[in-house]
Amino acid sequence: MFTFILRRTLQAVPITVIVTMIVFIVMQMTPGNPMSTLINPDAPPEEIVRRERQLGLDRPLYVQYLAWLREVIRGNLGHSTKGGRRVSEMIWSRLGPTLLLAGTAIAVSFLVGVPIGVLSAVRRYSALDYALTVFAFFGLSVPNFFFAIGLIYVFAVQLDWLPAMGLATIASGYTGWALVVDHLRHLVLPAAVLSLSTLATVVRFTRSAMLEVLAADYIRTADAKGLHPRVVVYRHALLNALIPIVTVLGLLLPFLFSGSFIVEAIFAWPGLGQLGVQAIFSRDYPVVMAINLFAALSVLAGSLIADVLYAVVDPRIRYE
Amino acid sequence: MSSQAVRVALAIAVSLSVLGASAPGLAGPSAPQRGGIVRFGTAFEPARLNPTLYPSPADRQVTELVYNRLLKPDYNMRLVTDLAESYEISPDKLVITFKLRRGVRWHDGTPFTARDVAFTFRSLAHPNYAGGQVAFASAIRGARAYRERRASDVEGIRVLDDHTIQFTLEEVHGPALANFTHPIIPAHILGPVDPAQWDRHPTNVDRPVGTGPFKIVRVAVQQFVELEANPDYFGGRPNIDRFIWVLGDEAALLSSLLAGRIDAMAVPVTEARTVRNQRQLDIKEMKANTFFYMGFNMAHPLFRQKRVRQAFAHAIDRDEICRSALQGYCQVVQVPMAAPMWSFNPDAKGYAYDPPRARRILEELGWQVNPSTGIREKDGQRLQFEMVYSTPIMATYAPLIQQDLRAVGIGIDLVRLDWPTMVATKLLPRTGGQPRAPTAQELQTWLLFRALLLEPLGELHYGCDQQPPKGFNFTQYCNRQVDRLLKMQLGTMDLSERAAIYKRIMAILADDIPWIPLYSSVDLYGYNRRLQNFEPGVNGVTQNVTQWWIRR
Repeated sequence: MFTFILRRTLQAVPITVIVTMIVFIVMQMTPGNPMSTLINPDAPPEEIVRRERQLGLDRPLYVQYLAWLREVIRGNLGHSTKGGRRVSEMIWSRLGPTLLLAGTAIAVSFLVGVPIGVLSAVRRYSALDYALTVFAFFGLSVPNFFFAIGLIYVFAVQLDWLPAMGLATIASGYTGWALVVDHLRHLVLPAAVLSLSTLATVVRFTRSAMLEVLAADYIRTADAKGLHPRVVVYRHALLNALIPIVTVLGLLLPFLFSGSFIVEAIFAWPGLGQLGVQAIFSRDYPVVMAINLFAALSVLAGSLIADVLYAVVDPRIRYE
Repeated sequence: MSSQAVRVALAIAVSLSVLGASAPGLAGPSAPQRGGIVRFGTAFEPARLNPTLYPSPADRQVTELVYNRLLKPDYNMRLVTDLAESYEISPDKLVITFKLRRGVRWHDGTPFTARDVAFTFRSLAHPNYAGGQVAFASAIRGARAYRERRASDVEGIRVLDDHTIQFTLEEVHGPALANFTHPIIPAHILGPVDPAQWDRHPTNVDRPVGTGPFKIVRVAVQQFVELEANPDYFGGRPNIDRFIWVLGDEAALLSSLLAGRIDAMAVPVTEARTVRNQRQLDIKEMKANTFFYMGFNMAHPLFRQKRVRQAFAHAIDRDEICRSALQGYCQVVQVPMAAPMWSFNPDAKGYAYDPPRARRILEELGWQVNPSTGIREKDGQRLQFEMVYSTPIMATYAPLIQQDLRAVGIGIDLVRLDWPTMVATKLLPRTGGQPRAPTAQELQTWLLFRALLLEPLGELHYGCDQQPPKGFNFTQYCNRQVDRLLKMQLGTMDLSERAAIYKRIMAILADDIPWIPLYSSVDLYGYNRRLQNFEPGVNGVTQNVTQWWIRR
């Protein structure tokens, strides 16, 4: 197992380099550069060119990439070209909110989604199953932004129960429990929106995996020898149905780190997703590169964790 | 050409605006109360808090609370003293001497002196400085030599004593006084730092040190910028204790305004009714210092023909744009200038909406409608052009323009681009890294706006010698008479004389029509009625912020 993890980690190095190289090239091919958004008549084009030279944007592409790579290896992600802030500091300050929001959404999806999926499979074609299926398709098909605006309209504007934006009440002076409650109140709406689609995915995957397993011979055997239905469903069926569910978890993990662009933007949630969108629009190369590096690493980590979990849930899988 | 004095932000952002005709005293009978927090919503996040580094409108919203300048514009855009106590101009108009206020301190307690002023303007001309504000210093004698490393200092800046500073100009310069509206930065903090590194310095990132009415407490990126009242402010301590710029998506901010969680924000015209329907909210409606236009690239042989441009102008129903797309919050103008500017000409004759006349002009030029396409043709050439634009508001009326032009047989392909793409591929394309004027294939027509502060800066856009990379004449318009008049107004500091010359320039441009002026815009600020004395002005929305107060 250890050598497997080590080998996969080593494999990740060239993949990461290739991914960042592609991102770097695509980004540079996008029209405009960090200075394009700063154009104004006090800064006529020749002044802009002067600053580009200071930033090294006039150098050949490969020189710029190698310079970036060298600094990253030294642990330096550089400075934002938009405001001069340290990129590492920018990423670090957004990581907490993104982990909180996406983590809540993923936890809710699995804690609620797996039981619903099991229930739906066990009572296949019942009224309950149909109701849950309709709900799941609703979750999969309603766009995030639409659901978000609907929730804001109902709960923030009409009922005025929950805040519509931000991480906390600004300058509230809350401390201790009041502060925790304030954060939770701000978390409810964005987490609900973000959970909806992942929850629906988990429900559908769990249901189909369970249906397949429930049709297997050993389940019939377990039923026939008179085991309690709950034991059959949870011990015999669900454990075997977990593999596809673990795959979904592995796919969702990167989302923990990259955040949801749309949901974060709508709720003014100061996370990595929002940072990424703004960085792209302002052609803030160092920030875009850092976020992509982060996203690439989390995809690799997510699939590695999923592979390790396969071995945990399925004793037949062995890694040498 | 040394007159690139006051900046025009081309950035896509909320424009700074001017006080409208109405200025009701909403304060009521009660006297201002001290204390409280103002939460002001904004969709545009400040990025640079050092005002010498490419200030965007969003940056300026914050830096205007933190810094001061020698002179500042009042509600009528006339220059009044700020950090200066008084100033004197020599009879030959070449030497300007400022007496500075005494007893002013930087937020860290260090006394403010003439050395800070000298440092600020010298820095703008520093060889390593690349923050884009060099035009504010370039009229000073010796600034160019210093920038080109031919001199060790700027000859025309002289500190006479701690509270007196003298500037000598290269030549008589129309916008000379407007140049002294540049914010003053602290020499004791930034003096030892190489200007090339200023963007990474804490004074730019989150710890600016100024002399203004508010001090920065905290910059929470993508959340808020929190400021507290400066108790020692020379203009008097603000009534409110705290000012917080709340950052967020426009829709979310609007719901916060409706729910009373923020006190004010710039409201899009489409939401004006929603805000007006709330009893606790009201709207300040102001003529903004911004105008929108449609431009022609003169590199295209057809657009060099005045008659073709006239046909376009007669074909477009600008009143309809104003009425339907902007719900009436705008003023149709005949000249390419914002209505509140001193250089505006309200009497210039433009081209009325008259489609039959547009058709007649095109017929006379030999353009015949092809019945199968509805588009005019001549010698195998089609009257079909691209129109590029960028902002959401333009997206609401670009199709109206397309429809109007189509009705007279001109085909328009609408191309919406994000701003950096529009700059890099359309307005300022490059060859070998060097910006140049666009060809007729790259750019044909476009929609754009100009957000002005104090100076009209016409030469930058129409000057024959101002094609990129030198200036912004990507229109590639060149009219010797306009050129001469532009130079003439730069040669006098008498504002009424300059205004008279500008009115002539505007009359020529209205007739010659290199740009079709669309409208001068109106800004709307929604605010909660508990916020008192809220009077946004030319200097930005916080013009009289020290007098704001909260009724409890």
